[in-house]
Amino acid sequence: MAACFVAFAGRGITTTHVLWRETTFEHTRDITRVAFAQTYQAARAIYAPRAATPIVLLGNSRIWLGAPAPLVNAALATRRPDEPAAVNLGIFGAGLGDLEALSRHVGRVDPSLAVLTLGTSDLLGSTSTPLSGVPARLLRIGWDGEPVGDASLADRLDRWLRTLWPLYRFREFARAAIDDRLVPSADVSPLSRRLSSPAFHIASTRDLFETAYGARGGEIEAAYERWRGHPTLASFVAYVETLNPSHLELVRQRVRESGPVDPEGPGLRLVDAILARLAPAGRTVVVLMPENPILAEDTRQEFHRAGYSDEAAAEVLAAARAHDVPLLDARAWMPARAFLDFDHLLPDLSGFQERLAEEIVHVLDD
Amino acid sequence: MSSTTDRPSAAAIVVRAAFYALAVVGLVLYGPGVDYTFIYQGF
Repeated sequence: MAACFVAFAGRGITTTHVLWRETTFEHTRDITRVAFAQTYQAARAIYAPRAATPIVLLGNSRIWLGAPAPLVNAALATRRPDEPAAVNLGIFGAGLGDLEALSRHVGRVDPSLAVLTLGTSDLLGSTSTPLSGVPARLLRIGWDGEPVGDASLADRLDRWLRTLWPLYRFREFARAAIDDRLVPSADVSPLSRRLSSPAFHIASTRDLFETAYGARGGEIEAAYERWRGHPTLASFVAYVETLNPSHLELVRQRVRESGPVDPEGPGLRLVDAILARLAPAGRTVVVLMPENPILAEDTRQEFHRAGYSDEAAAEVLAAARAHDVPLLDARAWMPARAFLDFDHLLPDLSGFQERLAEEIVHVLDD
Repeated sequence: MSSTTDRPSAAAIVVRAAFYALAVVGLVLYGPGVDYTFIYQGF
């Protein structure tokens, strides 16, 4: 009888608004909890009841910022009003191992199209660009082992129990949701909050900077204007230094860690594993996300390693072909003015969502 | 005293089962979970 009560309570938590109604913690400004919050949002997009089978966008901050779901849906609606809604499952810092874990859940929504987005540097699997992190730990399910890495017995038991028992699978999310119902978080990111609105719109860079960076917005806008007035690599770096010095350090570290692309390396093995799961389940497309063309001025190779992007793109293309999955090479789609920094597009202002929607329609029509 | 009088009532069985279930659910929800703190430097 106790087991029945546990099952009843588990179902009452994991299939209802107790777990899946919007929370305040998912919009947290606490940088240590952002990946957790976005993983929760991705899980909700899959497990909360929905009407139509969606288009799912898998990726990391590149797609989270570059193609927020409200913008993609508006762009899709102008082209194909009957198209199901897109959901953006982007998670800050998600590596290919995280996306492989997420791909294990995607079949549940039977997507009309799965869009796997990645940057060429995501193949690295280094300190600056880890393959797996918070999402992989929270979302691990399935009887198959992880394609990369030798999981400990404790990790395997955890994965099996998460597979069998939804309450255990979602226990971290359920705890945070219940706590949030009792004591809502006051530390909410205005950008994340606005992104959850179907009417999401960014009017200008000043609007973006003030929304995302608060009191620092004016200083960042001034640096951005200086860059736009003198569009050189040096002034762009000075602007990014004002925006987020950690980003510059991350990009420099990535260059130090990038060597020749290994076709048998863990990054490509994960791409292969993701496509092996998604492709047989339905229509799938790989998108190589836009790269900032200002890197062409980086002759000292401080912020990129010459040739790496093309080598990585060729290997991803080979992996996609092996699974008969089309690849959209979007690396050169956007001009430098469309970028927030070296990696990320300006949400809304870049217009990336329009081009992406156009290509999604083409893939669906093929 | 007969053995039938030692048997707990139906209500007591339900209460005890509910208590055990609550303990299990509480332990699952508020017991150890994965460490999900992570600082993303890129944005």
